[in-house]
Amino acid sequence: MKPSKRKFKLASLSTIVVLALCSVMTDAGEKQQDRAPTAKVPSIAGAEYVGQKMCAVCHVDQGREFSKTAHARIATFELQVARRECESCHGPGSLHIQGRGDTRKILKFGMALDPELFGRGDPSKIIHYSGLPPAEKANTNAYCLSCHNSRSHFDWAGSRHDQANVGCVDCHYPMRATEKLLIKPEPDLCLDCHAQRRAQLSYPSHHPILEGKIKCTDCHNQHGSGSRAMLRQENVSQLCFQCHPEKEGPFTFEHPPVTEDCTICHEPHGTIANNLKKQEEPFLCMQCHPGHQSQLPALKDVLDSREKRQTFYTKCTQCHSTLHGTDLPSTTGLGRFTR
Amino acid sequence: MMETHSSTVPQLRFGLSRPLSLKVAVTLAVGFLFLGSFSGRASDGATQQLVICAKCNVAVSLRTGDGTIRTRCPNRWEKLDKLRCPSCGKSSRFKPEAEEEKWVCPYDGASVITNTVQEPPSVSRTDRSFELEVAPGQRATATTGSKTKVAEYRVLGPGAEVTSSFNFRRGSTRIAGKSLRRSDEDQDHQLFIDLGRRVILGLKQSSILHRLDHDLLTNLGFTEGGRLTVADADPGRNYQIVRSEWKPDVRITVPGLPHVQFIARYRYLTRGGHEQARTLTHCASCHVQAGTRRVDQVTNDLELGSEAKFGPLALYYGHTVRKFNERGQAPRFDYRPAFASTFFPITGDLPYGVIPDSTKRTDKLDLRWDVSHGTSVHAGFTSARSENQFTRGAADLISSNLRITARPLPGLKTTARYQFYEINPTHPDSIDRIVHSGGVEAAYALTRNTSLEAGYELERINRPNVLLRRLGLSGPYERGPWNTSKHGGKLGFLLRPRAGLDVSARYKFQLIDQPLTRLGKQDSFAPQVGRRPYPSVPGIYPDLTNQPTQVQEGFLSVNWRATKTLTLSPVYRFSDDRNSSVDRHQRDHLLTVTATYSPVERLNFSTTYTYDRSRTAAVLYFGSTGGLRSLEEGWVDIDPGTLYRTRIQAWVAGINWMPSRRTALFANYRFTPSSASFDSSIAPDLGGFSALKITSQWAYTGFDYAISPGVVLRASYAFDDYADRALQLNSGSTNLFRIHLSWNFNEQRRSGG
Repeated sequence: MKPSKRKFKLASLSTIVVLALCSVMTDAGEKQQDRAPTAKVPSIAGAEYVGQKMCAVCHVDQGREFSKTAHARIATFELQVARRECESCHGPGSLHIQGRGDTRKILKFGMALDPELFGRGDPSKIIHYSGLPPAEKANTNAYCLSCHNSRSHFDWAGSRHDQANVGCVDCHYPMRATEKLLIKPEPDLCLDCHAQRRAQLSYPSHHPILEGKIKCTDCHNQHGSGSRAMLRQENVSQLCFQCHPEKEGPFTFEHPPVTEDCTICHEPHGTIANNLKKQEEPFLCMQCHPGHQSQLPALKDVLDSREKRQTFYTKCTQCHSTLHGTDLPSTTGLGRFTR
Repeated sequence: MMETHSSTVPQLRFGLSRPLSLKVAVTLAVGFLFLGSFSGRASDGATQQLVICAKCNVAVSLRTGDGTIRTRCPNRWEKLDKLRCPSCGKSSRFKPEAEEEKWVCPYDGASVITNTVQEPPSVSRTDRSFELEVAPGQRATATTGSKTKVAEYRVLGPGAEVTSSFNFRRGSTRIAGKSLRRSDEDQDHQLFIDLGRRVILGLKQSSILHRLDHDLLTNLGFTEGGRLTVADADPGRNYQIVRSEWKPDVRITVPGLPHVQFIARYRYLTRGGHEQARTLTHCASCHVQAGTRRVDQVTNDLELGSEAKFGPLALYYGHTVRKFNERGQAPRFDYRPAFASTFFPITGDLPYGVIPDSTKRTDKLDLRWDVSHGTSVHAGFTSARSENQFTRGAADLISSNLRITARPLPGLKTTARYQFYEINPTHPDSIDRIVHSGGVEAAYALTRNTSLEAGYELERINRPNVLLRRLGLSGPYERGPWNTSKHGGKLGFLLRPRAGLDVSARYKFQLIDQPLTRLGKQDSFAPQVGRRPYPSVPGIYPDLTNQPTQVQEGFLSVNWRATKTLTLSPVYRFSDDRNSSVDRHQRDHLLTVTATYSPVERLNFSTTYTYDRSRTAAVLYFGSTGGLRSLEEGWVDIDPGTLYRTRIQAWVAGINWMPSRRTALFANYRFTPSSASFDSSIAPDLGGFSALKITSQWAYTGFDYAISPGVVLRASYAFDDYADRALQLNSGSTNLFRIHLSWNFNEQRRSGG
């Protein structure tokens, strides 16, 4: 078969597969009619929807701020649930209005997070998502996830944050036009909970996260991933190679820890030893490699003089400088990582 | 009045004799029509009404402008035979009330109301706004000592700085950007364009300066025997690279396919500058050569993909191509052994530190299926191939993962996951890896304020071709399997005993069988302390590793809002790693206490103290005869009690105060003393060669003063200090003054200025 025909056939088959998949989904959809919806906004008994214009009568500032957010720009074709503007998230507002703004009769996001914007009501008398008991956050998360189900959120369910009952509104503020609606910018947002990482990032050797040059979310998918520690790649090494491609190779002479797991030698958040090494050389290396000794008479008693010890047992990478892998053999013809 | 919408699925029958191009065209046309039949109409805007359950807020049908009703839930994308009340779950024909504005379920009276689908006022076409903020400034610095660590990621020297941001909105279109420019080496720019949510463009550009170490090799160069010489070809050079990245991306939603997005991402990453490269001529002409290597690396990543959502099913497919090129010339060295020997066959004027060009192709397919409320399935597949363009060696990666999450009982979340990946390099000496890992986790809300979690995981790493030992002095290396198994479990709880007090604790353990190990020759080894002669056999050292066979980890976190103004958050983590087969034991303690205090609204203090201590005991082997052998006896010195200790304290304090509406003051201080010691009884002075005693300090203070609405003056002073008290390397300090005048166009206009 000619290559062009093969390509056409491949394209044709692919299209048929896609269509068949769509067809299956449609059929599957018919069978799902008895299933409950993925999310329910917490209900306010007896309340009915009144529309956005009614809300805007009192909440002028909030409306102005909200109009700057991505939520206000959502197109109809993107909607996964009914468009109710303010009441999409806050629930039906009729009782809230009848009670002259009774804050017990409306659902609020993030009251405890921004008293300046919302006034200083008594949080204990307000139903607000951020103040929900941990076990009840799942419902509010599910409500957000009913729209936010793109690829970056595929792994939320069962992720570490989900298991720990982290709520969407613990990090995001749907009413404020900040980057990704975050309640505060990275890395402070992450480090408020991960306080130990904050300390590590100030150790003498660290990635420039506190300096604002890279973000926690460059490496971790905070919404979950299929790999451990919510990494954005399949394993640690593949993740590191994203920014350090020169260490990927694949090399003729490989150092097994590099391809296995960079964290065998490195602690990416911060260390005392330079280059994010878990421990300083030579201790780090000598846990796996016996120290040097040569059979040549001049170097045999390697430990006898301080100078020799200083040479062989100070910094292994002074000589083995290509330990992340190389294609060039050492002068012995072996892979000693010295070229 | 209510009718069931039924789509006609076309019968796709193509004979092999028909032209394939026609098949493709017809198939595509049918596909678009098919998809458009149920997706295009949902976006027709104001001519439609959704019928929505007032209790669960989920649309149950869609009424079009011509009066027909499509009984398809936009939320679940389900076709409904007839409307079903979401509240009572019973099939019913809803009873229309007056003017058909509200419908009521005859079984339980749940109301189902209609809602006109229309653009909200906030995104109407008449809405238009433009925001602009510009903050030019000037920087002045004073530096003493080395810049390498104290300003590892910062530009120094006087210079102008500009930060700016703008935001333009008109209807559903938004164009926004922000920019920070400190110098050519330190800048960050972002541009975002949203054209009616149909086309979303993003562009990020950033440059980072990274100062690198320059090892002067001063510890080398002993002259006894006169065999080892050291040469630094460029001793006075300050090495640094600039990492610059361009990342444009675009998301396109084609009309008629509202649930399909086409995605293109591109990344152009460059690393340019100079770094130190080193090499060594082996043995006879021992010569450590350090030279300067010009770094000129370019990485191009192009990702093309598509994301589709069909109700409960979401799919992503992406293909990424990466090309990595090192355009800098590798340094060269004349490898000349002092005597001709078959042990040193590599001689001549040759390059060293060569970084090969490489390419990588990756295909990813991700799939998520929301089976029902609380139950979802996620599956991911990755196939990648990376190729070394210098040697033409390659490595294949195949990965897949599956995760199923369910809520079988109220308050119970369960997750089962499985991951598989295989790395298969083509080079015969490289290690293949086949990794299977899986686990189950459960979190149960015991009460409203108490939840428990537990989990178990199993991981198996198969390495079929690990270098086991060499057969004879010059024989081939024997290869065989080396498989690692890991069993891990965890228990934890999350407790809220009272309002404002959250306590969480977690305990994890892991048992590991055969971790990654550098294999020696265990059977001929009899470890003894002190210098001992051993018979002349290859590989007289045992298996060695820094990986544990048993790990325990404890974690306790408390977040206590003691008063309305004071919050305390202590966190303690303990870990214990052991490997009895190599007599290695590591124990870490990490305590962090954070306190925040806000006595009045515009004043808050915060402080964090961290104490991090680690102690590692290992058996080290000084001297070996592995590999290169002579006719004489080899020997090994064994230190069974080598200790490596680290201790780090980090104290951070900050204050923010707004004494008036126009003025804000801030001050932050961070003090991080750290030390590491290496104690060996065989050679007590070894610790002195590699001990670390580093103290770093950072102070940052300044004020904001609003000269007029929208015009703010910010002045700040930052002090950085890095002191290496053990090796006296890279110590230095910097003083940095900044002054900025920020002008916010909108605030000024709002105030009538």
